[in-house]
Amino acid sequence: MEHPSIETLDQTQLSRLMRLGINGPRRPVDALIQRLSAQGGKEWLARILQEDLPERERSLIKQAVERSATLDQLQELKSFAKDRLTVAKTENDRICSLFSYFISLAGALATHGQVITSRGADELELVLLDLAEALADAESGGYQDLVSEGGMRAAELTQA
Amino acid sequence: MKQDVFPQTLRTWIGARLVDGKQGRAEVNRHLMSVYLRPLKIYFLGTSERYLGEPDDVVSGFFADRLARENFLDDWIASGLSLRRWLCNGLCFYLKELRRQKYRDGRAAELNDDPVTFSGDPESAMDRAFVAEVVRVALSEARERCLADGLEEHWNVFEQHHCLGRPYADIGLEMNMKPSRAAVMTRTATKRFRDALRELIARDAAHEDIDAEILGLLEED
Repeated sequence: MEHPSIETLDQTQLSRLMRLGINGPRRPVDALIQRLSAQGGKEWLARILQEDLPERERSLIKQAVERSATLDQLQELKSFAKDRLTVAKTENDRICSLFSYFISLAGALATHGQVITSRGADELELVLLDLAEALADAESGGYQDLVSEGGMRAAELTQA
Repeated sequence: MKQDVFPQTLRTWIGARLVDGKQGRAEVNRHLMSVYLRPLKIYFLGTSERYLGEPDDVVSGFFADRLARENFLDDWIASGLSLRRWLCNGLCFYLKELRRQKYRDGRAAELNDDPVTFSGDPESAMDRAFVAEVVRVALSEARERCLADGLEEHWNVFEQHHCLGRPYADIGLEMNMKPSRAAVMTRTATKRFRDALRELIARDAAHEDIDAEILGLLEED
């Protein structure tokens, strides 16, 4: 495998690397990532998947992970999540809703190659890959695969 | 009440080391030599005083002279300037001193007190060189952090994608992993790189908005 020489990076490569340093404003997904990455993130995820989320949402999430959810069902999951987000009384309720929301977006991309939000594919790529990274330590139930594949499909759409 | 003009970021690294005695100052000096030597050489080459010597000798002489002064960096903190601008200003004064010294030694013609002049835009050239140096140092530091955390493979994927511009599909094929896995591993290493880069920019910055500093430097492209 060829290894790059730092000395030979050209201006375009340097600018691209420099751009990676930009944090940007805090995104909604960051609260979810923070919760998953915090101590007890794995247990938190297990609990919301077993208890906190409404049964219909849990069922749709399961279908999304199994790649059997239709686009309509993923839209339904997204709507549930958004509705719950607007009435969330606690931070935990808010973060639970965000989990469902991003699973719906990832499912639509990974399974159907569709963007079901007004967010651009370039933004979704980074959001989903960051979320997938946080899921790496928090679970082993296929969520990371779904979300990372969603991020990859978003990347393909960005390049198309 | 005296206005507090020292951004917190400056206090956190350079400022903290300045009150940390000889060892702290030595660490700051190493940082300055590592990040600013090349940009200052490029800046020097854009001045009317470039006849004064080889860039290596002149800039090394500048660092040796100014960093030996107890207040040089304290004065920078009080100036509110970015560190690279402060060093540029300091270099211009040093060049004038060098010119006078050469005159006294009979090795240069007498010159009045004209300020140093420039050909082209040495500040922009220096900023480009500064970008190259902070990226270089950040890559090196991020690699060390990845290795220390047992993330050598993550770092390799990062290099392949971000430095060599290879798509995840090719990297995955070569490293026997799913492209999506390669993408996630890259994000892990990217976090280390971002942290290292932002720390370096924060040490230079005149204010705390690191995103704005980065965007400002990218505008120089």
